[in-house]
Amino acid sequence: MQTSFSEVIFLTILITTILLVLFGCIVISFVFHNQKKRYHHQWEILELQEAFNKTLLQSKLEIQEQTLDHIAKELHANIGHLASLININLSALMPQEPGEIRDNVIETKSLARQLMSELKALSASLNTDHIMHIGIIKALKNELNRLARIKKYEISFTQSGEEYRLPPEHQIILFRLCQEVFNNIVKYAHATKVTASVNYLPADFELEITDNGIGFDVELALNQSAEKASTGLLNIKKRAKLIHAETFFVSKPNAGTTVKLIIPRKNII
Amino acid sequence: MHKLFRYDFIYLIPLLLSAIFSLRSFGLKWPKPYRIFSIYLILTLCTEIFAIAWKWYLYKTVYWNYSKSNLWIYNSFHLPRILLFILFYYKMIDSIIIKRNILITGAVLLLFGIIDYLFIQPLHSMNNYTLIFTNIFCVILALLFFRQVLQEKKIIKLSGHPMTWISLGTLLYYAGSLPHFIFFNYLFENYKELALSLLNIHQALNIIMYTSYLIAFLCKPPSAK
Repeated sequence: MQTSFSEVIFLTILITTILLVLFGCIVISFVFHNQKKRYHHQWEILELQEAFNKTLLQSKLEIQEQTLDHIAKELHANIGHLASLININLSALMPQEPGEIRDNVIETKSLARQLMSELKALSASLNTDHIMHIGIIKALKNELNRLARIKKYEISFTQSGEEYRLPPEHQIILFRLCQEVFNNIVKYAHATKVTASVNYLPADFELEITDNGIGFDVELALNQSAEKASTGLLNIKKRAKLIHAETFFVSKPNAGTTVKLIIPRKNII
Repeated sequence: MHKLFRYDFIYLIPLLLSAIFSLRSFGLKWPKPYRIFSIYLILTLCTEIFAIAWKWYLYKTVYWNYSKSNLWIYNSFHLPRILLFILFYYKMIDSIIIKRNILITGAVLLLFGIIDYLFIQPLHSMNNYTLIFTNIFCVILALLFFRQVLQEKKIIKLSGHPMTWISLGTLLYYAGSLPHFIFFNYLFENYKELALSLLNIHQALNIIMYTSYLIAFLCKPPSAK
């Protein structure tokens, strides 16, 4: 009797222990399972948000390109036409005998021709079809020439490697990114030298723009760009991501700035 | 030394390792509450070593001759260890209401433990009344942590979070050893062999608990809150 009673106690304790440990295991596995579900759910939300933001950005860029196209065509068609008319009227007004008036008219005609030339260049830089037609290298060189005409910058351009064709969308976005970088140089850098280099490497396509300006704190600028929700560095990064390009900003105060865009060859279809 | 290689001292290996690795919490990257837990582990290790040493050598020397029973050591050190344990969970739980309740319950538990130790149960028998209540309280603390995890907006990777492993070990050990502690004194007086054989379950749960604590301190340090 005593032995069987001790067996009963032993079994009671053993079974109760097993049940309590099992309870613990159930609680723990429930918590892990719940966390896993929440994690997957959050991941799905993030992916959807990412996809939505990408679609939104693409739409914005499309609208932007359409607007720039429209402006380019208006500049070329209307304003360029008006500048030509100004030139024609000035030719009609020009006196035959040399004198002060003739000199003034000649100078005004020269300014009108300069205006037409600038309008043509600006229109070309805004016109998406034109950029896709001439290619990124020519478009980049044209943009650098426009910078050089301001007579504030010493420009240099280098190209290396065997050239291969980039898809038109890549070229447009790359060109717009370069324009943004050049705008930043003009607005903020106080530079005197701008260097652009394009490297067609077997593994990736590299585009680098360097200036000798006042530089900036990259991390601070990125954080401020995020906080103020302003366009700028984060915008460059986001648009670069659309064409699977990695963006690198290398800069220190008073040490110039380098912006590098790298597209892996496998992402260039 | 050869006595240590018996199977019933296997739990000392994960305890020793967890105490050693817990010293990592004194590095800069670990949140401060983990230092309290490290001190708890070191105190537990010292208690175990002292208890074993007492049973083998220290109970009888040239200067004294006491009972071989080392239960008084476990009884004496139980309350300071539980105080550190409660303090650790107090620091890790976010809810102010729950923190207040932990303090109040902990204070009541400690007071009861002191009364039990001094007046209710004899020194050389296990203070299982205190053990039962502290076991239940520790299970509740572990469950409170898991509740906090489920309610938190931020999703944490549980397998890499030290607190998960600590609570896992705590829950399994303190829940599993509860029936054993409830019956221990009665069994020890009436069915000594059965009481001692049930210690094997306790040893197994000890190994699980200290292994969990060891894994906790092998994880990457969590970010401080």
